[in-house]
Amino acid sequence: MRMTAPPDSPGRLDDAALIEQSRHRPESFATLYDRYFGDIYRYIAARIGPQAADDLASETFLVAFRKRDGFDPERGAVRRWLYGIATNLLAGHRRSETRRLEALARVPVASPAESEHADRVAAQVTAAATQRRLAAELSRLPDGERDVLLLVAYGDLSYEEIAQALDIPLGTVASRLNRVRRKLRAALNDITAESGGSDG
Amino acid sequence: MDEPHDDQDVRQPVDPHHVTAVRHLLGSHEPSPGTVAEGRARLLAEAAATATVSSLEPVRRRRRGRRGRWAGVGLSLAAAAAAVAVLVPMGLSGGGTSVVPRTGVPAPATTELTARQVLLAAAVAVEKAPASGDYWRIATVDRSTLTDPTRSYVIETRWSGEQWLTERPDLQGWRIRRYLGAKPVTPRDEEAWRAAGAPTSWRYSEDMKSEQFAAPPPGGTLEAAAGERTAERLRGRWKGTAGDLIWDSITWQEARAIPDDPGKLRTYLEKYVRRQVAHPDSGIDVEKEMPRLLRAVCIRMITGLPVSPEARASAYRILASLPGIRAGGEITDPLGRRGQALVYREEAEPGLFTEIRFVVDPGTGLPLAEMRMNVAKGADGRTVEIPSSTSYQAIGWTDERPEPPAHRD
Repeated sequence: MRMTAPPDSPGRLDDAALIEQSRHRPESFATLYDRYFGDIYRYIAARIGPQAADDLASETFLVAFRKRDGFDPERGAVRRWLYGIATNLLAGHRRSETRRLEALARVPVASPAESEHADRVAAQVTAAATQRRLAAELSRLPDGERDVLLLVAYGDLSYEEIAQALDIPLGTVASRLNRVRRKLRAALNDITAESGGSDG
Repeated sequence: MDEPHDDQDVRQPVDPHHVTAVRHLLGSHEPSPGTVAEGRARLLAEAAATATVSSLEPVRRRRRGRRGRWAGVGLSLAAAAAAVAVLVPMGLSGGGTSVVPRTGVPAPATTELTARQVLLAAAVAVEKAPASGDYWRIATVDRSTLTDPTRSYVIETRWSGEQWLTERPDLQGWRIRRYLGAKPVTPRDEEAWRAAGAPTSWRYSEDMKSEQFAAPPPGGTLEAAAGERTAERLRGRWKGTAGDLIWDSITWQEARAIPDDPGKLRTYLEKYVRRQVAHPDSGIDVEKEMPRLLRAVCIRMITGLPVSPEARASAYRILASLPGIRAGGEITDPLGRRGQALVYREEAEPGLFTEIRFVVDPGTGLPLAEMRMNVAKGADGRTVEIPSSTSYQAIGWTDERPEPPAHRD
């Protein structure tokens, strides 16, 4: 035993133990990469697009690796820590994120394929209009509100995990999410339940 | 500013159908296998470089009180400079070569070159390399091995990569990659593979325990067939950088500021290492580990950074002054080229070593390959040797143009 292990819950022990192990066996960190690269990539790609995500997702793990000595298992799981690092890195890409959202808000209604039925086309037009409204709303969100929304949508993080990931008070997370909720409701007129498509 | 929580359900921060709408809008993009592999390689490269530092922490603690292993470390700049001028027998521990030239006496004409002779010959040769060009190009072939999911045979995977870095704003930097496929390594592995029905892809279960350096492929499936050549424009962090020096990316301006002179370069690199590694709670005695750290940065400089030929030569000269590097004789690299091997070890964890053969062509001063032999514990507790390598097809300035495939980004 090199040092006394901090008390930890069994569920977290694996990830946290890997970080501990990576202090003297750095390549152990690759296991965390294998576990979470997909999650982190999808989150980043959703925000700044897949091309830019290639570098930034890999960068997230390099930064995490370099900061692994600062990881404190008492302050939450490895996964939320990685989302926090990714979100910090994304802060340097606000402009590309906004540009992407603005572009999505301007996407013309896709021209339907030749064989599509008219009612299907109509449904697509409605869905596309809703999507443009949503994109416009997202592009207008203050950075902090967009951060918490997308951590929920892509990281599936709880209030508490978001607070840990971003190192902000729980109350701030709650108030940001309340505002986001109001804005989304207004933007979507609550008709989105019917418009969710199946293709990605 | 912060309102207290209202009475919303804390476990459901956003309406589920809003989440669905957001995800539908922004998409669920999966990383390509190339992206996953590249990121993993970057991480492992960093880990391997760091291994020289932090892996020693527990080891050092145990060895405290023993006689210094790096007795010959405190090489002064003058000594380093002397090593440049003559083939000096420093008698450093770890030199470990059979032929030790005496001071002032020319090296005996023998095929058995010492590590120092190889490094100094490489230093002289690399100075003649082109000093400028439109692009700084690095072309590599990476090989690594892992067992099949049933652990009955060993599979080797190969990747090729090209990096075209440029400082010119009118030129585009590229990273071009290709998965070259996977196959059983030895005839015996091939036999076992045939016996298993000659599969053309391998599916790894999620819970398969990853072994050191030989984790199952991320995503879980390994394909035998080679992939397409894909290209990616360098942008963001990679646009405008001249590569990296282990811990940090280096700008073109910084690359130009790297000193040519061996003494000044050594001072510069030592400062750089201290700045990068010495934080108070790292528990690392930087001064004590300096030889290993210097070795790592010098090799990185030689294999990757667009610095002047003189600076690369100086990096070879610093290597020649460091302990722990021995001659491995003439060997064939993974691409079938003959070169001189320089052998050193890194302790991945107490008692487990990675042996690295850094193969150089003393005639051109160019590195040919880094061949790593990692040692891991197999499923049955047996010690398994897992080789991996990076071979360099090109490192240097060129006025050639990249030929990215039609499929880009």
